[in-house]
Order: sequence, then structure tokens, then C-alpha cells
Amino acid sequence: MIVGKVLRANMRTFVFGTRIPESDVPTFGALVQTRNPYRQATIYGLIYDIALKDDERGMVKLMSVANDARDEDIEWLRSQLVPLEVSVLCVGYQMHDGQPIRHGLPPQPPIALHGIECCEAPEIEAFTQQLDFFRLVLEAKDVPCDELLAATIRLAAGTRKKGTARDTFAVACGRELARLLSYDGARLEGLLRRLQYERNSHHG
Amino acid sequence: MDDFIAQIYRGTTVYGVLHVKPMLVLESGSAEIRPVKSVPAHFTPVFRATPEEVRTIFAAEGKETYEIGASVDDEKIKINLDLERFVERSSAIFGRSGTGKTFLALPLLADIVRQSIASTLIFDMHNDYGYTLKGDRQKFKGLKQLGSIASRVVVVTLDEESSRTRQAGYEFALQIAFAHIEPEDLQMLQNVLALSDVQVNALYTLHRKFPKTWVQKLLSDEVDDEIQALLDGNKLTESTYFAMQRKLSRLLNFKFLRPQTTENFADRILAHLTRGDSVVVEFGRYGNDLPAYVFVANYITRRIHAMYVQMKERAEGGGGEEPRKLVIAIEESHKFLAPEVAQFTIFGNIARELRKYNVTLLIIDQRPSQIDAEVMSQIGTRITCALSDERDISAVFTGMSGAQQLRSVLASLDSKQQALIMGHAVPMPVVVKTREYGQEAYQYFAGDLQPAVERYATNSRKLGRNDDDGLVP
Ligand SMILES: Nc1ncnc2c1ncn2[C@@H]1O[C@H](COP(=O)(O)OP(=O)(O)OP(=O)(O)O)[C@@H](O)[C@H]1O
Ligand SMILES: [Mg+2]
Repeated sequence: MIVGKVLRANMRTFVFGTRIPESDVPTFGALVQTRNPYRQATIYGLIYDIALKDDERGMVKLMSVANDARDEDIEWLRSQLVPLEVSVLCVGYQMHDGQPIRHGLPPQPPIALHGIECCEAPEIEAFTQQLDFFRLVLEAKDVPCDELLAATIRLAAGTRKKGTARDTFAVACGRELARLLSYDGARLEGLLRRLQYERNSHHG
Repeated sequence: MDDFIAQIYRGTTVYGVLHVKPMLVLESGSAEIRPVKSVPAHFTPVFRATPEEVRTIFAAEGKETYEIGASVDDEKIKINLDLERFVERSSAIFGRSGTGKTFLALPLLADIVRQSIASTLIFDMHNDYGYTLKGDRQKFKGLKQLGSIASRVVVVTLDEESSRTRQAGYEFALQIAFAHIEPEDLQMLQNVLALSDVQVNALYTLHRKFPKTWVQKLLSDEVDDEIQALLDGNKLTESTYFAMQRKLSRLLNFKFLRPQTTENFADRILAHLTRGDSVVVEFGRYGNDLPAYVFVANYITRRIHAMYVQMKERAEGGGGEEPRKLVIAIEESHKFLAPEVAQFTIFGNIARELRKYNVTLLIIDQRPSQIDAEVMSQIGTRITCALSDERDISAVFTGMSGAQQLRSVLASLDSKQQALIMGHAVPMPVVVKTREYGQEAYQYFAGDLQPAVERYATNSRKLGRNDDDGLVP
């Protein structure tokens, strides 16, 4: 299902627009994909920011302080609004169908107005078979890296069967983090605590 | 720690580092063990040695061996000492009291005798080796009660009364005639008896003047004319003479020292040894008397040494057989090998001269740190039971390059019947659980060993030919 279209893009990140009521999709940490049809490449990314923009006419601002705003008017205004802007961090790509998914930056960025799809559980599971993308996330600039990674791991864990499979995955993620962050014990500990917390709430 | 977090940290941020010291190379398909000359390349996989490999390394196939015990990791893997190498250089058994040194030394010496690797002379200060070995709860057989070697072991006592009360048999009572005592026999007691240098010199003066009667004179209550002449001539001051007399009288009044003896018993011991017999010198109650122990052990060993040097030199000149290998076992050896005395005692010489004269020591001691470092560095095989004193632990490694890493191994030994063996008689250092001494060992030592019996017989015959050399009475 297409959830939005590409607005802007560079090599590392891209932004797509979407409308609130249309979907519950843009959640922080979710894995999305788009295509670069010229290169026949599928590009994978993680949602790291969702921005709500004011409309140019200033109607939202007015409405937000109006005492007598009617529900119908608010509904109408919402339908007129520019879309939400959703920022995505590129973490992987697949050159042709059937080829292996690679963790890293695609050779070219996504193209404008191409559709964005949300990855379903099997795709998430396939993408997270390997954890090489952790490094891209941890090193990203202007991105809440640790929060993002924790959220992604939680979603990916959810695609595994409850019990051993899920636990094994969580431990594998933790060990990868421990290797990557061996130079920064405090940061590692913070992240692991997040994982542990998510895990316990999954268990509960 | 939470199990989840522990699983993550384990092997990633926290891990142990094992230091492995390359020792030997055993190429696949080959049974030849060679010392390592290089290091493995990076990423070479590491495995535990298989039981078969360990067995191959410590089996010492085709050699004369003694099974000293089993690997601590696997009871089924037997560890063997190469006995030829063990007696080739001086060896040592260390360990604090009660760790099993005597229980280890006795069957080891027994097997050296059984296989006719060497004769042994044991200075048995606690009367453990001859007939009965006192255990914590029961009594065990001494060398004289082990079937296959009994006829080749001669027990000699210094204290007939004690032997009688212990109902321990003996071949003869060792007595030393005054006339045979030399100043060198007393000099090494300088520390023990607190003799001054002047007093020691006086001993030599006396001996020079009265070679046969000097001890007799010294012990006499009266100052005879000859001594008086010495004193008058200022060759000797009165105070030195009387102080010396006072200090030596306790020693010289030991019952085994006699004005006259029916024969030269030290020579009789030598004759047994050169013939291939082993001799146990039981000290009886004198075992608790340090001067007596030091005096006797030194007295006999000096004469053995002189004789072996003579025999060896004669053999080199083509005039006789090589002297048979001899291992001298001494308990509490630091009394002879402490830095202050090692240069005076014959034991220091033997330890240093090594195998030149076919005589080596088996040092049995609780305090390796009190043994002269130079002597320590000459020890070929070290068998070390548990030690607790840091200095003793360090001392064990004196003169062994690269062995310091084994300190921690040594520090973790069980308090009984475990030993770290390193040096000449084993291909690489190894920790063993030492063999139980008891019924099974009796069985082992019960029957004759045919090749060894033959070796013993030919040896006696060969040496017998030398009768007219006057070496073997
Ligand atoms: N190999 C063994 N077989 C049977 N018993 C043993 C053995 N080793 C040690 N023991 C037991 O441990 C006790 C102490 O051993 P042992 O007399 O050999 O100690 P040690 O090291 O010679 O002590 P010390 O320095 O006081 O002479 C023995 O009485 C015996 O009961
Ligand atoms: Mg003992």
C-alpha cells in the first residue's frame, strides 16, 4: 500500500508527504521502501522524524486559539492541509528483485513523487536478518540515533515468534551493539537498558 | 546481573584472555615430539589437546620410566618420568609439610632401584624409608618390605636402641671412629655449632699435629703434654681451645662416634653402593638432632664423592669400570644447601658438578627459598607439591627461563598428592595427581623385573672384577 510520495531526497535521507487520516503508518522507527525505477533499485529506510507543518494561510494558527471553532470546520481544515512531512534515513537497498538486500547507501537517491510503501512483517524480518545497518544508524547526523535504533529493534523483534526466536534476536542485537559501541560504555548501557525495557514489556 | 544483559556482554565487551605458551610440536600422523621453535599464525584455531595426544607426550615410549601419577584433568592419562634423565642431573621434590613428598619419593626411589637405573643412598632422618613408612592413619611398607627390591636394599642405623624399639631390622649399626674424623667434617657445622673462624682454624692445626688422635685429645678432660706444648708455644690460645672443646663436646659425645670401631663402616656403605645396592641410613632419634644429621650425611657423602671421583678418573684413564650411577636423597636439604653453607658442604659441590662423577642428588625440602640459588639453577627436574610461602614459590622457578607463568599453577595445587613437574625428566611442565602409595604399589613392586635383575647381575660381576683394584672390598 502506498502511504505517501517522495518530496525531497539526498543520498542519506529522503522526505515524503502523507496525510494524517489516511493511515496510521508513519510511526517512528518503521521500515519503509521506495523504488528508483531508473535503476530498478528498491531503497529501504527508517522513519526518524515526522513533522507537522503550518498552512501558508495561517488558518491552523487562528483555529487553534479560536474559542468557538466547530468540529466540522476543524475536519474541513484538516482535509485542506499540506501533508505531514516524514523524514527517512536510508539504510539499505536491493538492486534487482531476487538479489540480496545490502545494508548501506543506495547508488542513487529515490526520485521525486515516487510512492512509499510500508514494509510488512516478512520484509522486516528479512531485512533484519543481518544487523549491519546498525552502524549507519549510530553514525547518522541530526537523527536521534539511539532512540531510532531502539524503536526499530522493538518493531523487528515483534516480527519474530514470541519466545526463543524473539529472545535470540534481542540478544543478537545487543551483542552487535556491544561490539559497535565498545568504546562508549555509557552509551551502550543506555541502549541496552532500552532494549531490556522493551523486551520486558513484550514479555509482560 | 540480568541474564539478558549478561548474555550480551559476555564475549563482546567482557571476555577472558587465555595466555598459552607454546611448548611442543606434535605433527599429525607422527609420534615424535619436538620442542616448539615458532608461534602459530594468526587465526589458527585452538583446541584442547586430545587425551591421545597427551598420552603420547607423556608416555615416554621406549624409555625407562616411572609412572608418577595421572593427569589432573583425566585420571586415565598416565604421566611418566623418564628415569634415565631424572637421575642424570640433580632433582628435587618440594612442598610444605604434609603434602606428600616422602610418599612420592619412596616409590620413586624404589622404582629407580627396581629398574636398576641407579643405586640410591637415602639419609632418612625421620626413619620413613627402611621398614615402615608412617602414614597419617596407618603404616606403610618401607623399601625393605618391597619384594622385588628388598634384597638390594641395605638398612643401616645410627641408633640401635631406636631400631630395636621400632622393631626395625638393620644390616649394621653405623659407627664412626674418632681417628677417621677430619676437620672438613666439622667445618661445615660452623654455623650450626657457632664456631668462630679462629676456632675452625684451630681444628686444622690440631689435625695437622695429631692426625689420628686429635679428636680423642680434644674430648679428653685433661690437657696432655702435647696439647700443653701447643698452648705454651702460642700456636693455640687457651681460650680458643676450651671454647672449641665446649662447643664440640656435645656433638662428639654422640653414641655413634667411638674411640675405636671394629671396621670402617663408611667403607662398607661405599662397597654396597658401588656393588649396586641401595643404602638407607636411619637416624633413629638423631633425626631430630640437626648437628648429628648434618655431620653424618656430610661425613659419608664426602667419602663417597672422593671415591667416585677416583673411580671416574681411573675409568677415564682406561683403568676400570665407570662408577655406577648414584642418587643421594636428602630430606631437609636446605640445611646443606643454604647459601651460607653450600660452598662448604659436599652437597653443594655435587649439585654444582652435576653428573660429571655419576653422583646426583634428590633434594627433598619444604623451603626451596632457603637453598642456594646457584644450586637451584642446577636442578634438572623439579617436582613441586603445594607451597604457601611466596618466597618459596618464586624460588622453585629459579634458573628456569620463562617458567614464571607457572606460578599461578603452583599456587593452585591441592594441599595433598598433587604436584607440578617440570624440567629434564618430562617433555613439558605438567600437573599430576600423584600415585597412591598402598596395596596397588605393593603389587607393582612385588615381582621381579627380569631385564633389571640381569642388569644388576652384570653390574655386580663387572664391578666384582675390580676387586684387585682395592675399590670394592
Ligand atoms: N601418594 C600418597 N599415597 C597415600 N597417602 C599419601 C600420599 N601422599 C600423601 N599421603 C598422605 O599424606 C600424609 C603426608 O604425606 P608425607 O608424609 O609424604 O608428607 P611430607 O610432604 O613428606 O611432609 P613432611 O615435610 O612433614 O615430611 C601421609 O601421611 C599420607 O597419609
Ligand atoms: Mg616427609
